[in-house]
Amino acid sequence: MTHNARSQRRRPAWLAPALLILPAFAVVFSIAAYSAISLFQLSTVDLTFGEPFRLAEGVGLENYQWLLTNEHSTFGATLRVTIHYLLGTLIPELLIGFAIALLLNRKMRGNSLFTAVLIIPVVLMPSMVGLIGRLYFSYDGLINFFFETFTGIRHNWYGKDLALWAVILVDIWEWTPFFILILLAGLQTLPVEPFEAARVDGASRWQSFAHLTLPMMLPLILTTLILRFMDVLRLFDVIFVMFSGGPGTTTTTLPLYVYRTTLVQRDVGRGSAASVMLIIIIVALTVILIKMRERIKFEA
Amino acid sequence: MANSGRAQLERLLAYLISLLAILVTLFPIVWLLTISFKRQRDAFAMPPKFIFEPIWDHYLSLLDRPGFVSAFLNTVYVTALGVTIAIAIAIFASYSIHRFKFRGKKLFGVWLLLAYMLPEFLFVIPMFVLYQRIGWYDTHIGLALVYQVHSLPFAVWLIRSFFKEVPAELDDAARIDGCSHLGTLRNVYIPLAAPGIAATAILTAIWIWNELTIALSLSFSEAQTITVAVASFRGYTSIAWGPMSAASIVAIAPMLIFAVFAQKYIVKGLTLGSLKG
Repeated sequence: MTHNARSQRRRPAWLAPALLILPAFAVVFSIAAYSAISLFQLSTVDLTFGEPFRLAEGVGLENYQWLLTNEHSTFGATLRVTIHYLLGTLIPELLIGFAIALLLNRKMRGNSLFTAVLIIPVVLMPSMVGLIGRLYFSYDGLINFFFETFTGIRHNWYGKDLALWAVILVDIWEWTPFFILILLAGLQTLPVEPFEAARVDGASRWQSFAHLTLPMMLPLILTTLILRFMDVLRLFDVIFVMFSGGPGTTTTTLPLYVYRTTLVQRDVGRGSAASVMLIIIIVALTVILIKMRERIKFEA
Repeated sequence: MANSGRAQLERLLAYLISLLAILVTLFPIVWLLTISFKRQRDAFAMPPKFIFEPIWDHYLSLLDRPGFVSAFLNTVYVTALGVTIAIAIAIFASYSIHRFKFRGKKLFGVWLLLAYMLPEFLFVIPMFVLYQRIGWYDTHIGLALVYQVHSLPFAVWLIRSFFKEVPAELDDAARIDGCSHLGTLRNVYIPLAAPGIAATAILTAIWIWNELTIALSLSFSEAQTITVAVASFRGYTSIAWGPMSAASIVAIAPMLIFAVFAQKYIVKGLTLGSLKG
């Protein structure tokens, strides 16, 4: 015991925490920093994928300029597709998920069965979700079977007009359960007393929802949205397997754009420039979202 | 009286909605399962066929498909390796963040979060170049290491939130008894947070098992994983849906069984992560 106490006095206080955190820092920092730096370096050269690096020609910031201003660049279209995808998935997922969570927030039989089923899409292999999507949205697929049965019309989901919607519908199928699970768990941890007090005071159900449930759930709703938001900006597998970003650029979100530029068009410089811009967009949006969440946490 | 009638109605509605949610969620997967047992003409019969003569051919064909069995084994190996590295390192880092106050702690947290959020694809080109040079391209350890950029921050974040639930008195008691930091970690935190650590390991395993982007770009044959094998069924002209469905079912079965058995911990893991992030 005395030995222990003495040895601790001799060591500087920062040593223990630093040593414990070092391995995690070393692994994550080295890979992420190395990748970011080398992406930036590659974004300033003109290089075809597969060529040795010594053939690279320095072009300064021309790649960025080309992406942002050239009339043949589809970077702007990619941003529009990404925003469309974000809004098209997150809004319905949140609304449907929250509505179902509110409805199910009561003592019910079969709750654990319900959770077990809803967890399946969350843990399902995304590349397989993409294959399922391809299967169901094909012209002879089940979705069209239902459409034909009820409306008499089959749609071409693989075509330019509907491909993005097909991917969005698959995302809604896959991730609405995630919102239900998390928001339901959140609702079940809310304190009971404020609601009882409100009922005694004669508050209507709408009032207690608007003045109690909603403000108390807001931090969790925002966190869930942030988690999903980050997922969507990273999303690659489902779209890649379903449509590879096509037809044309109609399902090319930012990660798909980086992939297509670098590995399909084999333009490492422009692909890396797009990657760097993607990093900047993600960092900026995350900082904004976290600040927003901190303020709401503080007010609530 | 009218009130209780309305409550009854809402109750009924709640059951109906959950039944609908279960049906909508399960149907596509169950349908895929049936396709894996169907002949091609049964699979695409219109109207859909619910009664058919089941066949095992698609599953048997997987055994002859080059690389499928080894892809499955590769995935088991890479996942085990990746989870072990992530959990082993994350336990120490979480303890450090939970237990100490030090300068740069917040910065470290932000750095972890950023690394976690970056799309996998951003690491592909740089790591491809690096791995070609040091000979780690298409190796298990190479894959398991790149996965840490995503899994490690996730594991640190989650394990730390489980450590927060350990009563501070137990920590103090261990210190008074003369436990070192490592002793406190081993005797107090790890046993008490064991279910949480297990949940973290499961969620990390699921993520690595399902990952496509990095596996697609950094492995070729020796370390090719199951997601790549499943995705390789996709072609532009025609897809052999029978074998593809069978492959998908085999690919998702391990994690699905995992998830159903550990569902209590997984929901806790998902929600704790978001409640106390």
